[in-house]
Amino acid sequence: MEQTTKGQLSKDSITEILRLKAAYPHRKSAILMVLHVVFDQYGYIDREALSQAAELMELPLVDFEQAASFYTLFPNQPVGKYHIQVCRTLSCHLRGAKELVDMLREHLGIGVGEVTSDGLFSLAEVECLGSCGTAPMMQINDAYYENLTRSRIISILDELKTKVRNG
Amino acid sequence: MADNITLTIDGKMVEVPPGTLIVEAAQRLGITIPTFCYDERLRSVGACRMCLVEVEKMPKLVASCATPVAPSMVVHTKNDRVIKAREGVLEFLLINHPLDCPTCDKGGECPLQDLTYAHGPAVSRYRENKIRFIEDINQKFDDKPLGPEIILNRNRCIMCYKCVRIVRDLAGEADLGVFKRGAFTNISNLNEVAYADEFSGNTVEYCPVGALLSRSYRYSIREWLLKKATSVCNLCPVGCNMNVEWSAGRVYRHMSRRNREVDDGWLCDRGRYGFDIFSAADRLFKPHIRRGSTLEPCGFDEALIVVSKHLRKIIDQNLGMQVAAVGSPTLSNEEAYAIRHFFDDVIKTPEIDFQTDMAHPVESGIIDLVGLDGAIRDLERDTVFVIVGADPAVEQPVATLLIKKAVSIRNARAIFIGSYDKRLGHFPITNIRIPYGAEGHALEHISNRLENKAASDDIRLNEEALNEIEELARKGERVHIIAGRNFFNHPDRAGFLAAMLRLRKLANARLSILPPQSNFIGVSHFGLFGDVDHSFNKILERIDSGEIKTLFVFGSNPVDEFPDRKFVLDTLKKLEFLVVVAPFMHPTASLAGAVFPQAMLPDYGGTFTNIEGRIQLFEPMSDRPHVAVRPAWGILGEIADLINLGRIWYHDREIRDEIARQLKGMAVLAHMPSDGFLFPFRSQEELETRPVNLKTLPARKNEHSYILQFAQSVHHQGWLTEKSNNLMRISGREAILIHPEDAARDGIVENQAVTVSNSDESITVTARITTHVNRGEALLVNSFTGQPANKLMSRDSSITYVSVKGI
Repeated sequence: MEQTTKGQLSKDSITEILRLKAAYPHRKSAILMVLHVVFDQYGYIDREALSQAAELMELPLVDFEQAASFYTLFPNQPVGKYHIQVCRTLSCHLRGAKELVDMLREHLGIGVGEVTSDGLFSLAEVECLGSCGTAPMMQINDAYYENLTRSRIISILDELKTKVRNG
Repeated sequence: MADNITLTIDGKMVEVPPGTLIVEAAQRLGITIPTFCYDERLRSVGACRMCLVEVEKMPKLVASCATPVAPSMVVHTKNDRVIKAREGVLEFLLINHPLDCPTCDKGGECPLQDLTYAHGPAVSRYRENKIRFIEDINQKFDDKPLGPEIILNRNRCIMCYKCVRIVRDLAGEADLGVFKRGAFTNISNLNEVAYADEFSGNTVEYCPVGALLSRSYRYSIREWLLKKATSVCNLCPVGCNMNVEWSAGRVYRHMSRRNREVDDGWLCDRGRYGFDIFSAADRLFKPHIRRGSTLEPCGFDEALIVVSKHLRKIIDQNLGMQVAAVGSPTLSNEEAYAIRHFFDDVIKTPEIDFQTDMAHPVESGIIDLVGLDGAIRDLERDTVFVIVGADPAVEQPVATLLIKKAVSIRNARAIFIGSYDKRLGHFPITNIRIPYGAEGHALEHISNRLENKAASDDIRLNEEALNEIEELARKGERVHIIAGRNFFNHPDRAGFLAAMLRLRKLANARLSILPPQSNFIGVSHFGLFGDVDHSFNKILERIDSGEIKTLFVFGSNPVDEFPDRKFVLDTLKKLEFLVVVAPFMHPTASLAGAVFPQAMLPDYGGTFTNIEGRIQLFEPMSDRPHVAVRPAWGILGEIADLINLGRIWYHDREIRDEIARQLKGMAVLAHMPSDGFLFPFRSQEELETRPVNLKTLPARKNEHSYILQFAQSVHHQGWLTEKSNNLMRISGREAILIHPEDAARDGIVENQAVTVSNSDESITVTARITTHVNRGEALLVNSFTGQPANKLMSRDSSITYVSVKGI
């Protein structure tokens, strides 16, 4: 994740967006890819950067905003170092996802959509992540954690905390 | 054209062209399939599932609004499976719908209510909590303002996307979007951008539930208490058909009355929300007469007697030539005819005009050309629009929908030539920027190319755009040259017109000169047109010299409109007697000896003529005429009676009958068809090309002077729209646009208050800095009478030079 000023797309992002703009017969088709570019630079969808991207693409900002709001994988504000996404769709729900979320909220001391004060964890409820056979499950950053139980979640979180402490 | 397709719907055979949707084919058989999201004018999305039907050999039910017909299709719209599906769809739609119909504006005219009544389940099996979008915990209703006028209640929304499609496909804007997903899907705008495009009111009218609401109508009355008067909008010359909905003398709203030939069911926000001009608080309901220095209210008869005594004297002494009358291009055809008849035949004066906002009136040769070439509906078939000195999106919004349609669906090209940039929603257009007054020069550049002549080097233009126009014209595309408001006050109107006529011939184009005011065409043809010798400017001069001593003003407000405000004020004060028929006590009325309250739509009935020459009937809001206010013919008719000439007219129908008898080709006026009738007003002979002699371009006087231009907005057009609280809430503030380089030189920053002045007069407005205008030019937008722009204009020249200084 390259570091840049807030609300300002990096040179690389701009180059990539302009490449995408030319790559599709309809500029609208590139919207999702542009969201990925913004997400890759910031780790979330930065409003100002997004409006800069919309200008570059010569498309209305609302087209980007509505697409971003559809996908839970594009958070609209900064997330923790470890972004926990708990699946809440049918299979996971039936296997107790709601209780797991409640437990996580209590354990981390934050609500859904919030970040812990040390910036380490953030919590989100998301729709199906395609791992119904191993429900309930969650995704932390790019990794899946499946067949979850309360104790397993606590050990996963402890493991991550230790990892951070040891640099 | 491919062969028609035959299919069976509910056991009946029907033959339709390929591409027809099942729902449309069913309509031909008189079978109505219930729908929410379907609208034949918008792109199908198949979102609501209400229109599910069974097609034999297809495993699942299909959305009939999104499925084109196929040969030998067998469709069932009423079998058990379909009926059960409809019930199911409605049950799902109602799961999160709040059922607050008793307090919902849409109650009584709600498709969801009606279709639930017709097809829905009687009871709900859903016991869980409904999803509620709480906008403000302190508010009783979950209403969220999207903009100054449009309010959204997301709980009621059933996600048909009609509003989003109206905004995107029709207006071509991108204000609304669909956010989130699943049960939380909701319509919204971006928080920082207020939703107020020129067609926003249509989203409210066509919302199939009470999710979108108008601030001006919300919680004010129940729909079934409203009576409807069929009417025609008179805030622009398109003449959109509408219903004025009223109760107990108060107008509550304007709704479209679909006329496929004219508006196709759309209304712009100016026409829709301008209804409260009618019930403005300071509307004039009593005549006034001058006693000493003050104007005092009086009875109708008293005012009529004062005026008729004065006129009797004039007639007896044969001094008719000392009387003049000016009307307004917003009067009805009947009023125009009555004024002409009264002053021509009774008073015997030739001094009659209606162009009270132009120092240089449109001459008879040109006035015969004003109007649309062809019908409004033909616009969507043109492939190249050369729009010069016009901003049709502001001047004729609903007709411009067809230009937008041609551009967005048929890839037509819209090329705007003008001294400041225009837009056509988000649709792609080309702006060819020219110096002020260079419209004729730019057109000559194109014509010279088409004739393979060398271009003069008077102005530099965007070569790429010129090449494109040349190429398109050579390919034989359907070119349409459209001129508008800026044509009428152009500094070189003759040159501009000659250049348009030349290009029209070379490109085999259509040429339309569209008037900005509602009944310009009708009023000028039915009698109020004064040729150049009897123009309002000449009338003013004759008042100044003492030749004219009595002036009648009908519906216009020259003090706020006519160039050189001070001269107009001083001149009108010299009159012996000024009679003003006005809806408000405006500055012109304040000078009068007698003021009569003017009837406005829908106080009275009559006809208007729109840009295509269609004469359309509008009706009063009740059969009993409003006694306190009268149209011009009502007042003149009674005056005629009092000066012993016998009352001439009691009803607008009598005037139409009279016109039908007297004017050739007008017999149909006696029996007006409900959708109006087209009368070819435009003279084809006048379209012959003429030599093009262009004047040299106006130059700025010195480095600090600006050439000032004037632009209106969709929501605000002058002293009349200023009376509408609705429109003023939506409209932006007045501003002067100047180029960044000029601003830097004169030390002006964005949003700074500036004085704009000529040698004597000045006004104060806010500066906006933009590259959309040329260097050395300034554009005054949204001018209000509080800072009257006509102060700065001159009667001698169409060019207004000003200086701009920061305060």
